[in-house]
This record gives sequence, structure tokens and C-alpha cells, in this order.
Amino acid sequence: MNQEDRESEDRGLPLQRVVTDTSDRRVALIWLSVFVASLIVLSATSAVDDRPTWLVLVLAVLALAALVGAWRATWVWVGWSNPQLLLPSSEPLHLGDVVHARFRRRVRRRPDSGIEVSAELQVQERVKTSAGVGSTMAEIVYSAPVEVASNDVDNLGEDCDLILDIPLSAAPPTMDLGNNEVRWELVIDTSSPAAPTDRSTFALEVGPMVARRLQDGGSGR
Amino acid sequence: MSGGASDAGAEGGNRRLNLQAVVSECGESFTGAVQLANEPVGPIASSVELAYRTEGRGVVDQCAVATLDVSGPGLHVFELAVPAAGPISFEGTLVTVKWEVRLVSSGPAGSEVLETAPATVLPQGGLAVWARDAAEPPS
Repeated sequence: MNQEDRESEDRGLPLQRVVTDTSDRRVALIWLSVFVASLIVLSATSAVDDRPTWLVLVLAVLALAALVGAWRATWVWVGWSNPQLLLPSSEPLHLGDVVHARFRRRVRRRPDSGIEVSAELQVQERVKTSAGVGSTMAEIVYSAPVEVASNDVDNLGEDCDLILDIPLSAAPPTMDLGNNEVRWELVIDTSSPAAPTDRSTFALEVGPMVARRLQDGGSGR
Repeated sequence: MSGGASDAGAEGGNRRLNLQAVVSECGESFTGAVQLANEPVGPIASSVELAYRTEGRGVVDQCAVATLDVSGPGLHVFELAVPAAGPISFEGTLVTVKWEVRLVSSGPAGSEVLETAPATVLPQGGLAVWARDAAEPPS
């Protein structure tokens, strides 16, 4: 059992499924790649006497935008720890479930700084309109704010309890048939005076099953 | 598990496809019967299958999840299992999922769908909830 699992148990939560969002690193690397590529093209074409002015301007603007993007993404990557979502079970969620989850993220250099968290549950339909790249349509068909139950600041970082209210009939369960998909996501925004505002997105699996408490006679929604 | 006792059938010529119930759950099954008579051109190989297909803005996904061969004249009872993983029937903004039970013939000319009976698949435990609350299932 590693340190994080032990800390998790110490807080009274059972051993959980941990979902980590590492998209910050990818975004930073993408922007850095665009920046470097722009510089390379600029340098390579600098020896061309009749290089058009518009090309220089376009590449310069692209390089500047990439630099800004890379700088911000790197700032987020360096400033925040990897966001983690702790769920109570490795099993899929159920329609009508009320799930207590924990979101964990800390400011690296100043772990005692305050953090504000807001979260939203979203369901998205995604379809491929034709074979090939770039032919996907997506639309958010359900979104609802998630209740933030508590913020527990201690010397290990920032933990935030979330109450996920999975609707019973507002949206279908997670589905991927190949060309047609229903995707559930938990979107969490974190902000702090010591780090830039950032968004984390976690994919949730909601299975085709009604929550047991509703099958046993609870009220549906 | 079956829902309310209602016959849903498709009728054509000397064939009749009947479902005991048109609503079932993921992990349960659809039961019914198909009545076959002598075909004018002689007996043909037939099968009953449970399948879903999508409609809407995206490329169609379709799949026959359960198949049962039925051949020869007479009454054939069938039970077709619904996958526990679904998908469930629903009508969304970009995509709709529809289930059906169909009678398919396979002969020298290829496969042909002879009859279809629409079906509805709910999430596990859904029959009790939606029947009790008279609420709308997922849409």
C-alpha cells in the first residue's frame, strides 16, 4: 500500500479507484512543439530573399501565441499537483446514484494556500458523421453543478469532497458503439492566489443499471 | 425478466412473430414465438435475432446480439438474451438507439428480414422503477 492509499484509509475512505487527469502536461508539450516548429520554419526561410512578408507575420504571430500558451500550460503544470478524483468503488456508477467522491489537488509551492473548487457533471453525445478524421459532432445534452461538500485543508494538501448526484432519467448511461458515443464527465475548476485557474476533466463510467436504493423503493427523479 | 403481458407482433403472409413482452432490461431476455408455415417455394432457413441499431446524425451502428435458428413449419418458441452492458433504448439529440426482434431468412439469394417487432431495453432494475413511478425512462 503506497503513501497515498494509506492517507486515504486514514481519512475513513475505503481503498478507492483513483482517476488522474494528466492533460496539463500534454497541453504544455503541444504548445512547446508548435513554438519550436514555428521558429524552425522562420529560421529556415530567413535565407530566402523573396520570402513574403505575410508568411513572416503569420509565423511570428503563431510563435508568439504558442509561447504564451506553452508558458501558461507549464505554469499550470508546475504550479499544481496532478489532479486526482477518488471514487468509492471500481465498479461503474449507476443511474440515480448519489456518490461521495474526493477531489485532490494541491498547490505545489504553497500547499497551505486556499483553493476554490467548482464542479459540474456533464453528459455529451458524440457521433462520427463520416469515416475519417475531423468528422465528429458533439453536443452536451446534460449538465448540472456538483455539490462541494467540504474543503479539508491539512499539511498534506487540499482535499475536497464532492457529492455526485447521477440523474435517473435525464441522460442515458455511458455508451460507445463505435460511431456513436455517450460520455459522462466530471469537470472541475480549481483556482488559487498561488496558481493559475485550471480545469480538470475526468471521464466517469455510468453503467446501464438503476441504483439499488431506487430499486428498493426510493423516489426516482 | 418480462414486463407487462402484451403481445407485440409483426404479421406478414403466413408468418407471425410475437413477443411476450416488448420491454425488458439489460441482462434479461425477450421471449416470444414465431409461427412459420410452409413457404410457397419450399422451406427456408430462418432465424430470430435480437438487434439494435442507431439513428440520428452519426454513422449507423448496428449489431445482432442474439440469434436463434428456427426452421420448418410450426410454432417456434425463442428466448433472446439482452447483454448486461446494454445499450439501452433511448432517444437523444444526436443519436437514438432502437432495439427490435426480427425474423430473418437466409437462402440462395442471401439474407432478408421478413418481420420485425420493436422492443425496448431498460437499465437493470428499470422495469420496477419506471413502472412504479410511471416516470419517463432515459431520453
